[in-house]
Amino acid sequence: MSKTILVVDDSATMVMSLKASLEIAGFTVETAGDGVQAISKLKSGIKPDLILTDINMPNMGGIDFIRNARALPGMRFTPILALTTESQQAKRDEAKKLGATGWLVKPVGGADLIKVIKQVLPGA
Amino acid sequence: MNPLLDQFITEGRDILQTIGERLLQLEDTPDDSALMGELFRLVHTLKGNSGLFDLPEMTRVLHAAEDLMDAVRDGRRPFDRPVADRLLEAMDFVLALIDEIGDSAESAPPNTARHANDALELANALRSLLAAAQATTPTATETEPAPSPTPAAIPFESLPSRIQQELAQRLEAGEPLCWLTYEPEEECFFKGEDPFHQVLQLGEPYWRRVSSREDWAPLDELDAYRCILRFEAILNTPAEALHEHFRYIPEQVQIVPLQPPAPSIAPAPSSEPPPDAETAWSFNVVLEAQREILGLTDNPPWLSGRLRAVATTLEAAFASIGQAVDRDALQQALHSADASQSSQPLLHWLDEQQRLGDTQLPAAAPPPTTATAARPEAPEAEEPIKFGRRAEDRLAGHTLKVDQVKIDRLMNLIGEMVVTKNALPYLANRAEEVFGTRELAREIKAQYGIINRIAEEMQDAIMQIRMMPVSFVLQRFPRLVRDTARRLGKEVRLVMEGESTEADKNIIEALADPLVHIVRNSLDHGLESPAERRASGKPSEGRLTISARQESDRVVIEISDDGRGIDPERIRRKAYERGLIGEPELERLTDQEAINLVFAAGFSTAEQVSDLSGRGVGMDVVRNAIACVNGTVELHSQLGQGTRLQLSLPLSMAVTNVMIIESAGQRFGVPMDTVAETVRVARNDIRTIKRRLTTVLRGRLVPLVTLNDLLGLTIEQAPNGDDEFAVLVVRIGPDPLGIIVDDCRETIDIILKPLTGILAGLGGYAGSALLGDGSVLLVLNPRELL
Repeated sequence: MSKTILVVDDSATMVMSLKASLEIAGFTVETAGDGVQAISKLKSGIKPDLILTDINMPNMGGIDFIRNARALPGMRFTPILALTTESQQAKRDEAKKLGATGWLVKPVGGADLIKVIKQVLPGA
Repeated sequence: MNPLLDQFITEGRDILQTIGERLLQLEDTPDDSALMGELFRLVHTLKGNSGLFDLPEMTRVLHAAEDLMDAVRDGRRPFDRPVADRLLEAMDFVLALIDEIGDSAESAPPNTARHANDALELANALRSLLAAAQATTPTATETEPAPSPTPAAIPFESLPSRIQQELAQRLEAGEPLCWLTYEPEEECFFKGEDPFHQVLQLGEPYWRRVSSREDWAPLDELDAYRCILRFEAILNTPAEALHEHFRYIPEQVQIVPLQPPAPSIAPAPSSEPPPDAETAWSFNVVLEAQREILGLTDNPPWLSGRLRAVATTLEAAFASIGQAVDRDALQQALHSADASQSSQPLLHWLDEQQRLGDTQLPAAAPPPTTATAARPEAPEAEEPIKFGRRAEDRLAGHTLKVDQVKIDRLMNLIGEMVVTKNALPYLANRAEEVFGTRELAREIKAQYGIINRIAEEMQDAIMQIRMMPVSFVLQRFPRLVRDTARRLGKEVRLVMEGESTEADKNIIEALADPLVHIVRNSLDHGLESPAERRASGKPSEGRLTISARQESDRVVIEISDDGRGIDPERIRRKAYERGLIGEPELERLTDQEAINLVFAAGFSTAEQVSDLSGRGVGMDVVRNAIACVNGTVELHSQLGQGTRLQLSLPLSMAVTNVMIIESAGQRFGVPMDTVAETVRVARNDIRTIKRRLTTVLRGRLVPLVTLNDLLGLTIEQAPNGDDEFAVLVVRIGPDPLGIIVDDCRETIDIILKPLTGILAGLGGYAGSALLGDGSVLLVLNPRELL
C-alpha cells in the first residue's frame, strides 16, 4: 500500500506543486489549507505516514500545528517536515524543538523532495 | 497552459488584490499588527510560489518587499507613505508580470528578463527604505540581506605582473575580455545556491582567483554555513552572457567589459562614473593646494614626509576623477625630489600628468552598465514608475467561475420558455371558444399556472447567478481615489457604503466607466485644495461618499462630495458663451435646470483642462452610458456645500416589465420604469398654451404630446366612448410629460431583444419582444422619442 503524506500549506499553488511531485513518486496525498484544517483531518482518522507543513499560514501557523499535532494520539513519531524559507532560521529552530523531524527550504524541487522523504520515511 | 502555472496566476492575482486592499487599510490603521502579519504572510506566500517557476525578476522584487515587510512587522521601520507607495509599486510590477505570463499561451512562463532592470530598480528602492531604517536602528538581525558590493575599481595592481602584461596585449589585440567579481551572499547556502558551481559553469577563464572577504575565524568559531568568498575572474565571455548567467543574483556580481589600455599606461579602466562638475572642482582645488605646498620655501628644508603626503594625495586625486596614474613615474619623481631636496621633480610630474589628463579626460569611458543602479532617490520624491497597466485595470473578471456564455445560453433558453408558456392561455381560450371544451380549458389553465410558477422561479434562479455585488466595481476606488488625490495634492477620505448590494452583471459592468468619470470629476473639480477648504471653514480633508442601495427593483448609487458645489450662475454664463442656450433661456432657467446643463454635450466648466477628467465630455458620456442600460442620472448641488449625483439603474436587464398600449390600431410596449401613471383626460380639459397641448393634473401643468405625432402618423388619437383620451404620464427628466395614446392595456414581462438587421438603426424603439400569441411587440423608448 502506498504511503500517505499530508501536505499543509495555505498556498494552493504550493500544494498543487507538492502534490504533483509526490503523486508521481507514488505517494497518496492528503492536503490541508492551514493548521486548523490539518488538525481536523488528523482527528477525522486520516493517519499520514509523513506530514509536510508550511510555517506561515493563517488561522493556525505551522509552529502551532506541529505542537498540536504532536499532542494527538498516535502522532508522537510521525515524521513532520517543515517547509521554510531561508529567512526563518529562528522559526526553524523553534519547529525543531517542538518536534519537527527536519526542514526543507522552499522552493522544493521534485527530486530533492523525494530524496529527503525517502530518508525520513523508511521503506518508502 | 500548464495547470500549475494557471493556478499560480489565479492565486497570484487574488493575493495581489488582497495585498492592495490590506495596504490601503494599513494606511488608516498603521498599528494593526494582525493586518501587518497578514500582509507579510501574503507577500511571503507569493514569493514562495514565484520560486516554483523560472521568474527571477518577480522573485527578486517580492523578496525585497518581503524583507521590507519583515522589518516593518518587527518595528524596525515604521509603516509610512513611502513604504506603502513602494510596496504598491512593487505589486503593480508583479501584477504586470503575472498578466504578461497569463497572456502568453505557452506552457512554460515566458522569459521576463527584459524587466530585469525594472526589477532591480524596484528591489533597490525597497531595500533603500530598509537601509534607511537600519541606519537609525543598528540592531539589524541576521536575516538582513548582505549589502551589495560597492563597485570598486578593479584591482589590477594585485594581478601577477605576467598576467598584467599579457592582459594588456590581449586587449590590444582586440580580445573581448570581461572582468567579473562575484561576492556570494553570506546566506547563499541556505538558498540552494552553489557559488563554486556557478563559477565553474562559466568555463575556463583566462585568469581566476578565489579569496575571502574577511579574515577566516579560528577553526572552532568558524561558521561553515556562511559564505565569505570573493571570486574574481577575467573571462573571454561577452558581458551579456555573464549577466544572463548571473541573472538571479545581479546584485552580487560586478561585470566590467575591459577596454584596451591607453598607450604607456597600465590598464586601469575605472568603473567610477566620469567626473561631474563637483568632482572636477574639488579635484582642481586639491591640485592647487598641492602646488602651493610644493611651492613652500621654508626652513628646515624639505621634509620627506611632506613630499610623500603630497605624492599620495596627488595619486588619490587623480584616481578620484578616474584618470590612470603611472605609479612608477610618481615613485621616481618622489625619489628624486627626496634626493634633491627640491619639489621640482614632483611639480614636473604633476604638469606632465595634467597635460596627459587633458587629452584623456574627454575620452573617459562611459559608466559601465553593471549593478550600479542603486537609486539614491529620496523616498519622498513623487516620481511614479509606470508599468503599463495598473493594478485595478485587471482585477475584474475572476470571480465568475462559470463561462459566461453558458449562463447567457441559460438566460436565452429561459427567455424562450417564458414566451412559449405564454401561449398556453391563448390555447385555453381557443379550447373554450373554438372547440367548446370548457373542462379542457380549465385544465390547461391550471397546468399553465404550475409551469408559470416554475418558469418564474427558474428565471429568478438564473438571474441570481448573474447577480454581482457592487463592490466588484467599487473595489478599485480606494486606490484610484488615493492616487488621484495625491496627484492633485488634495486630501480626500473615501467612504463606501452598501458595497454588497447586488445587481445584474451587465448593469454592474456598465457602471464601471461612468463611475470612474464621476469620481474623477469629483476629485478634480468638486473637492477643493486643503488650503481652500480651510479658508472656507471646512476640514482640510475632503469627503467623498459612494453608497449603493436597493430601492424596489432598482439599484441606486449615490456619489456625493462636500466640495465647492456647482455654481448655477457660472454654468449659465458658460452655456451661453458656448452657444448651448440663448439669451431668453439665460434668464428663464432655474438653478436646477442650469445645473443639469453639465450633461449637455461638449460642456466643460473647468477653466483648465486637466488630464484627469478630460475636456468635459465626462458628464455627457456618463449620462449616455447610464441611459444605455435604462438608468437615470440626477444631479443635485448646493454651492459651497457639495455635489450629489444619483444613479438609478434597473436591478436586471434580462426581463423588462412593459405596459401594452394601443395607438393607430397597433400595439406597442412602453417600459414600466418610464411610466409614472396612466390617466384619462377629457377632451375639454386639454388646452393649448403657447401652441402646445397641456392639461392640469392635480394642480400641476402637464404638457401633452400625441403618440401618433411622435411616430410621424397623421391619424388623430381616438378617444373612448366618454370622449376621454388615455394619457401615459412619463417621467423623463425632472418634469412629467403626458403622451396621448388610444388605449392602455395590461403590463407584461417580456424578454427585450434589441432591434437587429435593417431595423438596427431605428431610433425611438428600445427593441422588440415575442408575445405569447406569437406576434411581435415593438417596445418604444420614450427617452429617444421625446
